Amino acid sequence: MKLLIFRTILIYLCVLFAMRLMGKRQLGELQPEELVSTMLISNLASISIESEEVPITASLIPLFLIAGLELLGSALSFHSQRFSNLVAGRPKTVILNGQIDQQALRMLRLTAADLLEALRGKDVYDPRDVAYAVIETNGSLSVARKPDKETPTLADLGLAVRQQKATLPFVVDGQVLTDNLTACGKNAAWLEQTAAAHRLPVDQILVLLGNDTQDYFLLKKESRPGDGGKGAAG
Amino acid sequence: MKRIWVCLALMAGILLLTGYSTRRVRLFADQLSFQLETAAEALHQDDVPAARQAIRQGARLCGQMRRESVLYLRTGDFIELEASLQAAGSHLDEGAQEEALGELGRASVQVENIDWLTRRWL
Repeated sequence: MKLLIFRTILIYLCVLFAMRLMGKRQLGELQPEELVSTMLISNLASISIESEEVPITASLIPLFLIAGLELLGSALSFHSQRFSNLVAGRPKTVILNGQIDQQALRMLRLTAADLLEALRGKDVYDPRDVAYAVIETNGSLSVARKPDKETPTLADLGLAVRQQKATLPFVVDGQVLTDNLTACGKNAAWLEQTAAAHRLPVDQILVLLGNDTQDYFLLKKESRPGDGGKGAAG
Repeated sequence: MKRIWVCLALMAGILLLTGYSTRRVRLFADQLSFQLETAAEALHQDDVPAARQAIRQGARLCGQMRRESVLYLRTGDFIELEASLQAAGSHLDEGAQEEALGELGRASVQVENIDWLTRRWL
């Protein structure tokens, strides 16, 4: 038992260290310690299921121990910036005022192609448009465009807002989302009326989107593949 | 904060179970070593009934340990030990004392290994 606990701690620390050593490229959306916990826990969970001769506690104890270490790590990271930097690393600036920091790219072992790909994922096609771009500790790229390259908003253009609410789904796959209807000041009667205007029962609506104005988008369910079933906007 | 307390409670539970199981295995190893030594000594003095009694007692301890610790210990070692002792008992029944001594020696090594496992840290 003692052996199991110390091995669990050692393996956890070793895998975490290895992940930190491998750098941000190995990570997805998870923080290093979260990824390690996820990997180990998923493996541990299968041990007792696969091997009958192994007692259930041989999986449960390391599993809870890892969860405990993860919680302890997050609590320590919350209280100590130094610990947080040690475990999760620090965000790294890769573009500043349109200038790519090649030293940072080398340090992160990111190629220019990787950076451009990540920028394209953020709808940025020219690094000169970027005021500030950082590789976060979970390996994702965050981008702030230069103010003059930002997409203008209605407020920037000084235009009046036509709708106060966001466009929400009212019906999805024939299922009525009553909360969304109510939030946009509509009710079941409006829904029935709208469906009737398209000569459709509500359960035959694939998607109905709308907001607090009279504008909406309705798409009816297609009975057969290739059948024309597109609805019209009201 | 509630999650941290749950985590601490789980840790405390795990440590308690660790201490209990380690103590239990060491106690078992001590008791079994004693029975094996008794049996071997009895065989050297040609006291077959006393040896048989000690071997039976040892096998009973193994069976008890195997059944009671199934939830928190790997029982493979206890099964193997019990099999060795049963074999030693059978050899005694057939009057094969040398073979019985061999099985007892094998069982002693296994007990020593079990005891050593509880003292390892990694």
